[in-house]
Amino acid sequence: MAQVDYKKPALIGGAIVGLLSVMPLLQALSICFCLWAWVGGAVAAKILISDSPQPIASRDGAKVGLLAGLFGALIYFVIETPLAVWQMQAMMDTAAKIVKEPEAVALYEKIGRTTSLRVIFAMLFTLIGSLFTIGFTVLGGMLGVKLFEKRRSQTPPPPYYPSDYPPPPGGEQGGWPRS
Amino acid sequence: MGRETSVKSERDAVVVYAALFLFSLAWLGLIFAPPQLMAAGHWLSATVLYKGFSAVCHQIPERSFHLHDFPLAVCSRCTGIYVGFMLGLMLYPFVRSLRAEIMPHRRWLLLAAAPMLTDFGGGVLGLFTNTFFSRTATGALLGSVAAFYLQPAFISTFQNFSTEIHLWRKLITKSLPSSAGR
Repeated sequence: MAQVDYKKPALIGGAIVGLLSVMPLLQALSICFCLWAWVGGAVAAKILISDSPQPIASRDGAKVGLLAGLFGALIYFVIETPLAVWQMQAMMDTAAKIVKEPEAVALYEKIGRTTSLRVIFAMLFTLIGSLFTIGFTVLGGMLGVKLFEKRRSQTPPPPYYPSDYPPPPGGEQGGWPRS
Repeated sequence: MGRETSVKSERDAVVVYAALFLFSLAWLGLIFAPPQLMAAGHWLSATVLYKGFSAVCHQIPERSFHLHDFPLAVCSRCTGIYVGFMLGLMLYPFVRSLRAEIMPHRRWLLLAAAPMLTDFGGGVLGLFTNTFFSRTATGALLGSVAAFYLQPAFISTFQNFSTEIHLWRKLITKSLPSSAGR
């Protein structure tokens, strides 16, 4: 059985997940039910199905979804973390306005002011978002296989040898099975 | 019927269903946790969860359900989708066999998504103003129908994995006595 190549579908699916999730205008669609993660997983599954000579199972869809999700989450993490560090002060100001408790306001201000805390929390926020993205991409991959794979998994029929077909030379060492 | 019920054991199907159900419940728990944490004074953990969920939802407070005067981690449309998914899962055993691997035709998924897409698109394009109710209801419809697609997908995936696990288990049990005898 031919080996299934996950690399190309995972890279394309991951690029869709990662890049479209951070692009300014297209990002708006990602924040609606993590759309690009679903699309990335489903596209990866579709490419896997197109490139594979044999039927693809849901397990393969989950695998390619996971790989695409990991690659997409890496892109998302690398691009989104510096942006989160940069926007942390504004984020914490907004949070402080909602809470209004003096202790909480002081905590948020401390995070917004301290560079190391800004970096740590930016990484934490983006990491959680990345994990969610990976989860949705796996679901997209599984669903993609179920929706797009039309071929049935079948065992090939037993070989048929015509009765008048001469066996190849080789005697007992090889040749056609004798019935 | 052949492929429809190819998961041999009813118990396996129930395990997959229960796992998906518990996972969905935990996910809903995460969505409802931040306002609870806020009210309890755990601001930092609540903020981490809020910001984590910002990757999957716009979280506009005016468009979100509130608990203890704090918005949930996701908007009303997303809450509708996840609660609808949970309801769909609850309904699933009464409508279909848990062992079913075949999904309903994809046209049903598209039909279920159409009201939400219309509601979303109409709002974005300024054709009409969607309401809190329309956002929640259309999301819930899509979520409940999505359960009928994800459960078979999980059953199918588990079926593949369980075959692999079975082979590995066989291999390990075969190799264990020989290694213990050395």
